[in-house]
Amino acid sequence: MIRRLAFGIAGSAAVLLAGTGRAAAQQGPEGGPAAANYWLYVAAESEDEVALIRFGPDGAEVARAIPVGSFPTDIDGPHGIAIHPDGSRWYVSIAHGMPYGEVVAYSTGTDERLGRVTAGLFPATMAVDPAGLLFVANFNLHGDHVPGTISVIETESMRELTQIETCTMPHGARLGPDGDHLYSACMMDDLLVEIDGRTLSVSRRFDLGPGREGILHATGGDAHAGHAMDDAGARCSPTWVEVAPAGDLAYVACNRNAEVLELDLASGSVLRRFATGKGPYNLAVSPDGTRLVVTYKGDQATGIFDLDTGGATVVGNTRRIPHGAVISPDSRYAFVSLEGVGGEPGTVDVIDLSSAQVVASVEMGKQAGGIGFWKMER
Amino acid sequence: MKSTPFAHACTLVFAGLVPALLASVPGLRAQEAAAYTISVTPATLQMRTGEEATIEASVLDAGGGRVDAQVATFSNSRGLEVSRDGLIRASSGGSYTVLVFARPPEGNPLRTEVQVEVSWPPVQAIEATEFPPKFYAGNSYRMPTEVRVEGGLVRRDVSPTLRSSDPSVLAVGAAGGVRALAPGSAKLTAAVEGFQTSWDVKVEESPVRSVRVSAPRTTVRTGDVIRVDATALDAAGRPLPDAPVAFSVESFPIDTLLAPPSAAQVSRDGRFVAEKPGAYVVHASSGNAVGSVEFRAEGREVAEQVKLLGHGAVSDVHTSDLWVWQGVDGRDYAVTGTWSGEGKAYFWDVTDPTAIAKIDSFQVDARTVNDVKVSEDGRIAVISREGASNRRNGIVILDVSDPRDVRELSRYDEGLTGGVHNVFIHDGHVFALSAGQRYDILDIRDPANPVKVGSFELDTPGHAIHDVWVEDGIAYSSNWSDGVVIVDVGNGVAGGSVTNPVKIGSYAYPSGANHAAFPFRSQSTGKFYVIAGDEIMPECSDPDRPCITQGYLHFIDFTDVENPREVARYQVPEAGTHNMWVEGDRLYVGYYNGGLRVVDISGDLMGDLYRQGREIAVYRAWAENGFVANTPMTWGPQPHKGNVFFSEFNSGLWAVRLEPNRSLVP
Repeated sequence: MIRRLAFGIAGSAAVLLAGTGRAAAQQGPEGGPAAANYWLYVAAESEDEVALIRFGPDGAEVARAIPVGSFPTDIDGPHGIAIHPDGSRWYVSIAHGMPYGEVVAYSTGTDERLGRVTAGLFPATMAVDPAGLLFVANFNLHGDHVPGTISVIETESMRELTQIETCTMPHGARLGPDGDHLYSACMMDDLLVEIDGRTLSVSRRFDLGPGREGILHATGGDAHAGHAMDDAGARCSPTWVEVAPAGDLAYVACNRNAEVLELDLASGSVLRRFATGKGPYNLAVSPDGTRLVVTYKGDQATGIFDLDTGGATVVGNTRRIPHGAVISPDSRYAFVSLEGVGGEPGTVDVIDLSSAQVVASVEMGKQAGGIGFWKMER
Repeated sequence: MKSTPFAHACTLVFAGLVPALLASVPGLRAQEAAAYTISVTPATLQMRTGEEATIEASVLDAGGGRVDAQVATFSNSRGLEVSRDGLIRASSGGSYTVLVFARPPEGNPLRTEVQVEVSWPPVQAIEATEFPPKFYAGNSYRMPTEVRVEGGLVRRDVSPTLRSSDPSVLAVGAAGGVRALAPGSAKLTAAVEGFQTSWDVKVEESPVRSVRVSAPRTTVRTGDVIRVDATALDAAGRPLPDAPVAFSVESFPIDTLLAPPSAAQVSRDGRFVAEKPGAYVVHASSGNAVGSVEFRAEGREVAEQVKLLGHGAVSDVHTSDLWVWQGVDGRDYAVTGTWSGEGKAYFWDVTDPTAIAKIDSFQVDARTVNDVKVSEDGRIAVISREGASNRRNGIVILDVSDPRDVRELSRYDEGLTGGVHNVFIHDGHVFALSAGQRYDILDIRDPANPVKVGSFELDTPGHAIHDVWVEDGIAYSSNWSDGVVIVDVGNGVAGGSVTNPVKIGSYAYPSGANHAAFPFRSQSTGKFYVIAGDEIMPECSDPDRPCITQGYLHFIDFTDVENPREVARYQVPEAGTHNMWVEGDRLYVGYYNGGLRVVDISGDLMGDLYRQGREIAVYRAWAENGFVANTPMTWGPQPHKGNVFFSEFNSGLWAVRLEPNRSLVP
């Protein structure tokens, strides 16, 4: 694995942005400046705000910091971000509550709050299907290790329709390309759960335990049906799942044993294993299906895998604790959120996937985490 | 289709409580326009509580043929339960909208709605819950009733109407009160939804010839609660215990009070309190007899001046809680937390409050140190962590025997990873909130090796906890919608201990915003109260901007712990409460944007203490160079050796002293 710490050739300069007070590093990529403006929403979990970030020919900036949460003297913990498929709305999951968290909807552009709905304990990652159903994993990070749920929310009315019991500590909730199936991985059960978006019930479970990978026969009912924990407990400890654009494969980050599994969704078998850096956390697959981006929470780095060759490159990040990752629709850039530690600002690194370089970084609120790609404008 | 009791068919049923927004849902085709449609039978449903029913639903293709389609059922209504296999069970009357949701073989989901009307079973009984043993002419009576339906359920959504068969004997008022006018007989009938019940009422001539009234004193201050004793007497001067006595008050506030508000109140049991200076006449009437007592109310005159002593500035981060203590060396110290910063706690020498000096800081892996506490002996501090980089929060135990050189003794995060919002130290144990749902009890008598020994958690649906205060082996926790909960954690009064906490009592109130609790025994009356404070922030979202808060303090008389009564409030109209402290008969409150408030809570308590002139002092602290400039946001106070220290969210640690008002000698 080649480890490179590379920065754009344009040098760096800190610019204070009017209205935001955030410094932006303006750098151009090796292949030249960005040819479009890319817009993202990123949650700052310890700042109770969401940053609207723009990366363009002139670098990256926080265009707006949107306060979220209900109690300004209690950290409410915005965690996950999702964008409505039609681009009209963005959603943030608020992890903390009394005791349940909630999902709040905002209008993109104006960032006007549109509605809110109570979810479960520590709602985290979300996905919205083309029909407007939002799925959010109730992570229950700090609770007892009991089966968690996926809340299904009708976004037009912002009503929770149901909670689907999945497995223990679900994290990562991603839809397949056709929007018909949701996949969620459970950190404490070494399970990947497939939810049928039509029946809103669990259709399949995949065992992710090392050496046991495969489809479990039991579905529904007991979340642990068919799964036997070994004496050491979960060893994959999956934190994320992404489905390939073709819909036939799923990539799962095994946070504990530092690998990403490439699963054949039809058979449940593992096709490839990608050895990663320490603590693979979130994943993103480029829309053209050629790149897999993995954040290494324990390494201050991001891995880029060539899905054709299997080759890997590691890109050093500008701040500690990489969290989320998204890739632009043109498959050119990966945007990685970095939490930082203590009073450090959160940061978003922009990585040029062709050169595997960080070409821009922008500071934002503390503990940058959930990240959602909004739009690309030429 | 009418429902049939306990009918059960394995067909498709969908239920929810969702507004009719079909036409506006993007991506969801209107029933008419899609290639597939939903056919639902019946279009509406009538049920009765306690009954079960089903709705048949199917997906049709463009030709009207049934297709194999996936469906799902939902319900988020308390009164209507719906299972995934199609069974509806109605438990409460009302109107509901049932969501029918289907995924056809291709295309977007389909949805439609079915209106379900659930009616209550017939009323079976109307019971008078307080029926007077006698009706005497010239008196008014309240007649609360309870409506029961078949099956024993109590309906709280209807109020029976009352009517009298002879209004010249017994008259019914506009609000349902009953007045006995003259001796005679009448039938009092209560009716609701076609059911009625009657009581035969005999109105007797009132034997009351006089009402003896007395009060312990008639010169009072505003806020003094005086019990007026009133006894109805017959012609021979003998008491008539079954004759009701009604109290009322005439108010003559001082003539300098222009356009006065309501200036006094008297309770049904005769307790009187004036809110404004002036003259007041309390009348006690029974039948045609009235007894009166006149009061002269003077201003309470408790206001004191506030002298600013010192300020320990914190300008680069928000400040959270504080704790002030006398150190082992005899000097006075304070510790403050920081909020959304670098995880620091600051230690201060406050021996001279006019020269508050920061003497040490301690940093932990956190963004917020929300709570700070020091042990009774001044040697151990516990600080809470939120926002740790590894998401394992918990607490840190510090040696503060030398606050100039604070040292870590241990950390504990097992089961506390969800962020410890608040903690308390009591008798060698730490009570630490865990994930906002319970508190864990840790034995820290060996502070280098804390051990969890117990835990307390409510079992109510959706329970949450915000804070805990422990005194004399009893824990008083604040639990949002579950209110104040009192638990024996070693006092023994209920057989509880730190290993086996036992709930003693609780009190919840409608706002559901219970954020803090502080117990105190009134030094002047001996009554035992718990003050429950709200935290409400309806329009606040940005901690770095001024914020207008709401909520007030509820005074709950827990003298009879099994029958707590909310008796008074302290409500500042333009602000909301945060943390508080009681010392003696004085209450100190951090009232957020309302500043530091000091309140006289001596004597019996009733009504709105704010309106009674019980406020001793108000102090709003701000700093031009505060983290948020010029913006008071008082977090919490602590009186200490005659001074009052308080933390300000936007500017750090402050110290003031209250001094008597000085009056100019002409």
